[in-house]
Amino acid sequence: MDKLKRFLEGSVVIPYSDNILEAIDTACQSYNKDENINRFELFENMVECFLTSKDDKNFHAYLNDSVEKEGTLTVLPNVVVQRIAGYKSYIMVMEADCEEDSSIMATIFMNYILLVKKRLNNIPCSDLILEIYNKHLSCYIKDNDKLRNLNDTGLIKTIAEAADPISILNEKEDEANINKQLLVLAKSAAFYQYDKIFNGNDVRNIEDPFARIFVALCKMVHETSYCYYDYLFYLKSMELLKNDECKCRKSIVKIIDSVQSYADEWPEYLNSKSSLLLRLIKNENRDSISTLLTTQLGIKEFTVYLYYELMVEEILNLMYDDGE
Amino acid sequence: MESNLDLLQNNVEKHRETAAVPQTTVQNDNSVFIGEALNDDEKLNLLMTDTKPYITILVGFEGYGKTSFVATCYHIMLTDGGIGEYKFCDSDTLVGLERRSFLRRFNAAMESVPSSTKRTIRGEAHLLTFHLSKDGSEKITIFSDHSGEDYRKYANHKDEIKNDVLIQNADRILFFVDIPSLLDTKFLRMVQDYKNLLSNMKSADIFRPQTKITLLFNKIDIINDDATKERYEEKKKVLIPVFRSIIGINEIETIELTSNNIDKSDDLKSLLQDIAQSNSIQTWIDNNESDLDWVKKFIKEQ
Repeated sequence: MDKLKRFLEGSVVIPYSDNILEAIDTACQSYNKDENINRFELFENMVECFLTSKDDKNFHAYLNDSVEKEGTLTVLPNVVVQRIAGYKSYIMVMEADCEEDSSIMATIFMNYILLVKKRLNNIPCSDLILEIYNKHLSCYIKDNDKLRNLNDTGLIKTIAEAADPISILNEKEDEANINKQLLVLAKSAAFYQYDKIFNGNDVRNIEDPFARIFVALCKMVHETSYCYYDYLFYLKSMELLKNDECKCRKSIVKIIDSVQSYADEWPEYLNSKSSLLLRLIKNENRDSISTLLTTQLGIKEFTVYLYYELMVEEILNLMYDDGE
Repeated sequence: MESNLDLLQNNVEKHRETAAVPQTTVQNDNSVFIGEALNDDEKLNLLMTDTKPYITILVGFEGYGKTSFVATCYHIMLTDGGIGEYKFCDSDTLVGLERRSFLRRFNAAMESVPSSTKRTIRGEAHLLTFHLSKDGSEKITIFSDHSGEDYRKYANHKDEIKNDVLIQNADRILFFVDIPSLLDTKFLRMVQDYKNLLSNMKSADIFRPQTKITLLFNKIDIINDDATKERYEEKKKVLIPVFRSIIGINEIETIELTSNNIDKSDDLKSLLQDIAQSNSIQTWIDNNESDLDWVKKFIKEQ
């Protein structure tokens, strides 16, 4: 409840009593707990409400009902509901059922930051938001991709020379070592695929630097077998740029013009409302996020935002395909 | 007296007709205030619209002119129909405030009334709200006018101030300095009282970075010769550093005025205007923008 108190600081005249806080906290914990509810969509609604003050009528009504039952207040003002939505987003990330969910939600939250890039200093509780940041997909991937040494490739020779590699591998006694070497092989193969994309002339010959980055990252996420390794996508992307291109900036509307002709192929469809650049590129929801169009974005920032939008889309695609 | 009251009534009617009063912004059921003074700080949450009310706390000891100040503000709102660009559209006025306002306004005619009845009595409801409107949007500003005895209690008992939730959430604190007391033998007592009060406020974390602090030297009209002026300046030089050092700020805003003189109220009006156009503190924690710009940080770390 301390965190709820923190989220509400400065939004009410007099801090709410513990009874009201408890009623709000209970409401936040129980709101849309149903298993059939799409937790990521719910999370997106909460983040939109918190960052952009977009009213979520159901959430607002649910909270009003809860505090009315407590007996002191009848209606919560929008500005308070907005902060409570921030708290709900926070607990959804911090108390998610699994680490994966937590990191997807944190990444969705951070993708939305593009929408409020111009007024970041108006966002309350920055220290609590930084706790959400610590759950970002990049941290999750770093923590889980611990295979650092890719030189242990002795297994290549064994497999290459074997007529029946599975039986040879089964005969080996050191199972743990074999497993490790197989993982090294898989990672090396994936890195080879990534490098091939970044070195490919079909990408390098694209004239517009934003389009070059867009195609490279789309191919990396969509055309490789596995994209969840801790790969230095940012540095590799920067290698695609000439010196003078590294500092180029454009308004988002102009960036979209540059990349739109390459966007027919990827991504096929979008799952997350937080994929702001991809939605603009695919001409979806253009009206509701049109304020973004004039925002200036450097090519480095574009690279990072785009990569994590593509990653969230890819992960949600997999999850939804698996019936989640 | 009659003409003054007529003036009030006529102006209120006139401004009610012209003011763009928002009809729907107050979402809560405020009927709890009808016939009842705003005597419970927590009820202020019921006044919240989508704009958080701006809270100004008047701090000072007995007879320093806090209620005269707020009564003059109220008078200005009623007679001028607002302040600056803000129209005055409503007030959850206290019966107590009306009474005190009346007693001060006609102080001269009330000499036979014991002075204690003219003051704010400890325990009286202390809140006054002004509902203002500009371009159709509503804004509420709240004055807290506790009795001088309350502040003496806060000065003498460290823990008492912790029960005052409003002062802990103030947007602006006006410290009243009574110039007659500053100039006479009560000066040392005043300094000591303020030292105690400020120390207790400091230990209760009242002075947040965003809270605006103003030192208001009241009853400036009594200074009418050079010798008094010189003595006044000397005393100020002693008092102001006390505030600076205990609060922990390098500069402190000072204002000189006479809170009960409606004819010479330009300074008071400009302060009231500043209060009316100030926005309430929404974020207590100082944001470091670059921390939240995660992409910038990501790029820097590569």
